[in-house]
Amino acid sequence: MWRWRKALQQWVLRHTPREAQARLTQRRIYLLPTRFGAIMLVVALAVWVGALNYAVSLAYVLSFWIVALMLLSVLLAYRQLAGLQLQARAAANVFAGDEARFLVHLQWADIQPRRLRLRWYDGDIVLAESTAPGDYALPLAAPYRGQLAMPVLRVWSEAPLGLVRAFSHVRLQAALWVYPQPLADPRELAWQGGEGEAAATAPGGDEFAGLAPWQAGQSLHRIAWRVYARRGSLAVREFASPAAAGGLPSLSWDDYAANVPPEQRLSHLCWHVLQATRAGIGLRLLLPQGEYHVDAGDGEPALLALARFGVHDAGG
Amino acid sequence: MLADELRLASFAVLAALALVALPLFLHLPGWVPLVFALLLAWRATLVWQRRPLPRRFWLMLGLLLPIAALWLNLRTLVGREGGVAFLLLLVGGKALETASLRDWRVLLALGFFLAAMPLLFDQSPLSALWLLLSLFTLTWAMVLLAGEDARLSPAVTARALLLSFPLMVVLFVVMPRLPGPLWSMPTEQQGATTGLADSMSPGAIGKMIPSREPVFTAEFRGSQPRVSQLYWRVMVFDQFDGTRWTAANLALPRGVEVGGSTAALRYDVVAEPFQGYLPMLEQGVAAGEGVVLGYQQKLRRVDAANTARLRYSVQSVASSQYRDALGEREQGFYLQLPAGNPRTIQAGQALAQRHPQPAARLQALQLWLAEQGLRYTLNPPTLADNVVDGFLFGSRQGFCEHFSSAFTVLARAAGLPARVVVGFQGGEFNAQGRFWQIRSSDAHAWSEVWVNGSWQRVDATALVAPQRVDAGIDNTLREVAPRMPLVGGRPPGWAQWVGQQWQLANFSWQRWVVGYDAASQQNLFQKLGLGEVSAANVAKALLGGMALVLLPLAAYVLHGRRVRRSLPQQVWQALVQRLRRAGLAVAPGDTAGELQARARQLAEADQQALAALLQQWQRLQYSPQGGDDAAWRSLWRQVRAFRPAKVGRKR
Repeated sequence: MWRWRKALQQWVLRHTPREAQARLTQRRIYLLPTRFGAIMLVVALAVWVGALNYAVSLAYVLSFWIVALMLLSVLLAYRQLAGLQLQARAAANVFAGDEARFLVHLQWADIQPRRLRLRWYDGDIVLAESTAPGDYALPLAAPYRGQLAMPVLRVWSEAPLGLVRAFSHVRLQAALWVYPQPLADPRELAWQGGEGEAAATAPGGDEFAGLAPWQAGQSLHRIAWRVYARRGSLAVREFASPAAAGGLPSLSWDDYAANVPPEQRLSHLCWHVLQATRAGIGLRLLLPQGEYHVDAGDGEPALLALARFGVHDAGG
Repeated sequence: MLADELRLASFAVLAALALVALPLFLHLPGWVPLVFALLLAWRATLVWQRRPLPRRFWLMLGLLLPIAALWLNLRTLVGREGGVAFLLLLVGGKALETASLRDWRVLLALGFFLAAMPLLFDQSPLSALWLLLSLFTLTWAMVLLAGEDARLSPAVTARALLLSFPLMVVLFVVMPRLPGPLWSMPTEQQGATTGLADSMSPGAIGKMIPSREPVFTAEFRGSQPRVSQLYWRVMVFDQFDGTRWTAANLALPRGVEVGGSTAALRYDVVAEPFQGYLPMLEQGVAAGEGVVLGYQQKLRRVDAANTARLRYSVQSVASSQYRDALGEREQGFYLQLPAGNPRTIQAGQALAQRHPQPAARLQALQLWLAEQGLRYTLNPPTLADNVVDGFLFGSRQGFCEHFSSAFTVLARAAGLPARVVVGFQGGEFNAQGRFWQIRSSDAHAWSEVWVNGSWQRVDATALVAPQRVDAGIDNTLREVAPRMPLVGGRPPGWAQWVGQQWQLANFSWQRWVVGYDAASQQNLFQKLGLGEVSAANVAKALLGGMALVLLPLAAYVLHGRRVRRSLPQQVWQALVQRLRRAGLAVAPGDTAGELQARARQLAEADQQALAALLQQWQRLQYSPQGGDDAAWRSLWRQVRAFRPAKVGRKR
């Protein structure tokens, strides 16, 4: 049973190509009775046997009406999905351990409301319920650094009776970068050397000076998503920003001993980049694959470089 | 699904269950549905107060006690009554361990099963109506459980039921019916069925007469019989204890011979068995499928224990006699008389001495009875002890049971084998439906006397009141004549017409819905040119019928509502439609200015509303971003709410 399930999943994954935009047609909408639908069929059968045995015509009516409702449900459930268009919107990069939020735009031609549900193909949590066209944010845990592509999405509907489920699988072309998880570095690196700023920032302590409400135009990656998840309001990590001083200190892969694992190094480097960005200090980031400049206050290129370390960009 | 939505849906499920079980109050011991209702109310209270489910112990107690009581009450947990009552209690118990969405759905499925239960007892149009109501509430609960918006749910439910109705009809007509049951049912105790009792004592039939309740219908193929030919034989009583006639239920296999010059009448009857026997016109010669013609010319179901209504065909020759070879012992049996009624026996013996020829003796007996100055009345005085003597020589007033009983006793005393036949006489012809409606008030009893190797019908009532047979009981007894409710008096023509229509509706209901069985299906298949009801033909009919219904349905569901126009076009179209409905000559090609110009005939308020809508439309249409979907949708809703008053009515 388990093996069959596995094989079925493999098949689904193989037959769900990545696409920029998906439009659901009858070729890719599947219809199956739900568990409740199966129970109702059993009830219809039981009533039918009773009608047969006791020669009760009205019981035939009841039994056949249940079957008719099932048949109608097939059409109605199919209608919920037919012609649905899905398109991925750009999603913000996140730090490893945070929650990524893929944005999907749902669109259909007619004005009738639909009742759709979305979940990841291998998950079992309903991510979104949609009755109107629009953008829907689909959370996905991002535990590892690197590129995170949108997994296969399952769109389904059991409306309006819950007897038959129409479903389809969609793999949209969307990916985001997962930065390394910032990991405080107790050591003092060269760029911090001698600056009063460095003394003001206690190493190993909390990186943030505080939180402030997010305002339009602010970089998305500064949003504290965990705070958002807790409070439901967007907040940005606020950092103290004393005036930058000095030239361009460098931050290097080779600052660490050879026995420090790469991911740990990246996490430390990430922490330093964030610290520097917060302090408004420009940096040179030296990685084996190349050199990156961190302009004062904009850590994005450096963070991307860290995220991309050793990753082949699949595009998207 | 949110907790509040599930709560609402739970109430809907519980309400649907209560509604479904309501008719069972009529058919089960009253306390069983009451306990069921209490269990549901208990669950509803817990949902209402957001309290957890009761402990298993209490639930078991609340369930086992009623089940034990049920056992003590009915002595069974199976069969129709026992089984339904048991199921009802179990479903009530199930409601009390229902918490998750999945549980509620299982409970709802049980509710659908429960909806079939009242149908085992009653299949009248009224219970069909109740079934419809039950289906609506059950489906409504289903829609709510599926998470539909509460305000939209009734419309969604109605739409689902309406759209699935044609599919149901196709399945109902085409799916094959079996001629007999799959397994025999446990015999039920004969309840208080309306109609004929299993014995005849003075007053037994008279009690039925004032009721004009329809009991069965008959439909003749070819020529219609005369009213005076309509002797519907049901039961034969051949044992007399001095007061009461009962059936000895002998079963001697033998062939009888029905003479007669007239051709056989072919007809179909829809009737419920009376004490196991079905009405048949005298004298039956051939019984159709599902029924057998047995000893004493009595008709019964093949599955004799089944008390359900049945449609069957019979052939009869309208004749007052049939040949039957009685042995010595049988003749003796039909001559037995208990002690008592000395004067009647004396009179019979005296007549027998005077007329040695049996045929002449029978004539003389009839003549003698006719000369006794008897009166036909529905309300004869009550008699005690020697009831036949009391009737013939005392009160001289009686009803058909008095007449038939007295004549049979007289014949036996005169040495002629005789017995009492109970059934119905007459009927009302419904000209529109071309069928005969026989009512409770047509119940009748007559005698059968064995003379010269033939059973000869003697209707002693007709000797005294010949119009009973020729004109029907309605025109003989004032008490039985149809009367208007409340006001009294003979009903006017239109009321009779309404009555006939109602009869016709009932008849059609019985014929096409309740009585739609293997035979009717065969008939219909043949009429549609589909031939036999075989697997291949059923498959063909099913495919054809489904295609006939499903294709338009699919077109309606999938394409009828899918509009290929853009949102702004749809909104514009809706606006034009609203104005057209108000009686304005506008075309979809009109510009906004033209619309406004044509709308001058509208009321002032409507004009302003239109102007606002048009302004909004233009703003969205010509805004740099082209207006977003949400804005267009909101405008669409506003347009739909715009109902301008009609204009241009000619004064």
